[in-house]
Amino acid sequence: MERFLKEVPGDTGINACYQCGTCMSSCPTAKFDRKYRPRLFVIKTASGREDEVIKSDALWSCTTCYTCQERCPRGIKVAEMIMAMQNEAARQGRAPEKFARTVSVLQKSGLTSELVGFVRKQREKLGLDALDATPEVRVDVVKKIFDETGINRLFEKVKGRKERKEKKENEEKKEEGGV
Amino acid sequence: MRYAFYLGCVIPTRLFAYEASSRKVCRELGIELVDMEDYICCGTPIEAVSHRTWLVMAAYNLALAEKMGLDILTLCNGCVNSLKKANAGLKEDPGLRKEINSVLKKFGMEYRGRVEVKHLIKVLYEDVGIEEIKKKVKRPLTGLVAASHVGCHVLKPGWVMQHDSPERPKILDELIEATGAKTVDYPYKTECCGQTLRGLNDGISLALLQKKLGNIEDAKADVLVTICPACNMQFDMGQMEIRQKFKKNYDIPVMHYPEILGLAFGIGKEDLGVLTHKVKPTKLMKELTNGL
Ligand code: SF4
Ligand code: SF4
Repeated sequence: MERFLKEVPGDTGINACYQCGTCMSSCPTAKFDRKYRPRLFVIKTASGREDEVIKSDALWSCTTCYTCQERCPRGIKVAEMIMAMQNEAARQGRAPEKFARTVSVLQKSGLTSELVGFVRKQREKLGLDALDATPEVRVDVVKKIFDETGINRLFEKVKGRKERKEKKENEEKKEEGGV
Repeated sequence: MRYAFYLGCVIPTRLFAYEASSRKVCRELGIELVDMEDYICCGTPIEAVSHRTWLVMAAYNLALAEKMGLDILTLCNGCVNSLKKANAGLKEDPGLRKEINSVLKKFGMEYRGRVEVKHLIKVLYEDVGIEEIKKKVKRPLTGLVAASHVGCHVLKPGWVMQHDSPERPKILDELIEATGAKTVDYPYKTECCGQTLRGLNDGISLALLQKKLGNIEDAKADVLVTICPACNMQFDMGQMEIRQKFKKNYDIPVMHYPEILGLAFGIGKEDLGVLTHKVKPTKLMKELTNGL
């Protein structure tokens, strides 16, 4: 547990949780999905069952609105804990597809959104400067940061996991077919 | 009032009306915006998968502003959240700072913790002030009823953002009222718009959006005012999606705060880019100009 909570600035102090449920009753996601329970994320993590949280799909339904954290009477950094768990899940090759797409766009333009021709004209009309269409410095910086911090490795793992899963499923299908 | 202008990703490439209107109202108010050349994404979109990558990206941008010797002004809740969180985390942890600087060194950069980061709204409220803004209003938006959506990330975590009360924010409403418009409250006002769940849990993203739009409709607001590109897209384009999927037409124009401020300053709607939104504020514009 220590190994990833340390990355969050300050102490999350999850052991102080007294299970009041304020986090849950404040949570926008929990309002629409009764299976989404930040209170359980906290108690599971505090009691050494963090694997259940890390492996759950629910982990990725957090809006990162920080309301739970803001209202926790015990000062627990619930939202930051959730993000630390997501980081750990990503390290295990469990990052959702969305992030792989974001990383790939970032490597192309240094930003998460690329400039298209239509926008260039609109900008001109509004008297805005032309944007640099070939932002080499930007792209170069982002690529280097990605190399240094190893973010791409996370998605190699995702690919690896996917392939292993598909292989397993195929083998199971073959076995079923053989019977 | 001189700031390093950090535009982020989405605003210059998609929400240019936000950029144009911000530049124009800042000019009117004597806020000098110095563009940051070759800035990169603030890191927010990948924070959930790599805390380390996020921190280096944010620190890179902070270091760029340090080189310029200017505090940062941004228009985006995500950017201000990212940059302020990184700033706070790096300031309090010399060990972490050293590690991050070992990466920045490769670009000839160094983070020293010498700049602050502010959202445009905070600069308008604190540096300029409501009274000064009122003095510049040439065409008061009398009769306009506005609902505001401040959004989460400029407010929370409160101990870092230090922007406004996270539970009862008032700055944006006061700024709206400075234009002569009225503001209305509505249930779920400080609730998340759901944008961050796009591509992760679209069902809940839409449910949150519809809940808010329904309440804004019930409050009889003429317009929804936002201060974040992500929230703005969720509300504006989201209405198109809801119309297609659920055959429900809210028809609530969603505008960036500087657009309505610009209108009150007497800047033309074409110059502000008001008509580039998906939900066209046509009716609203007619009413406003009739009132002249
Ligand atoms: S609000 Fe805080 S103390 Fe209460 S259940 Fe949630 S984490 Fe625990
Ligand atoms: S940060 Fe996540 S868990 Fe906390 S209230 Fe918001 S959506 Fe719920």
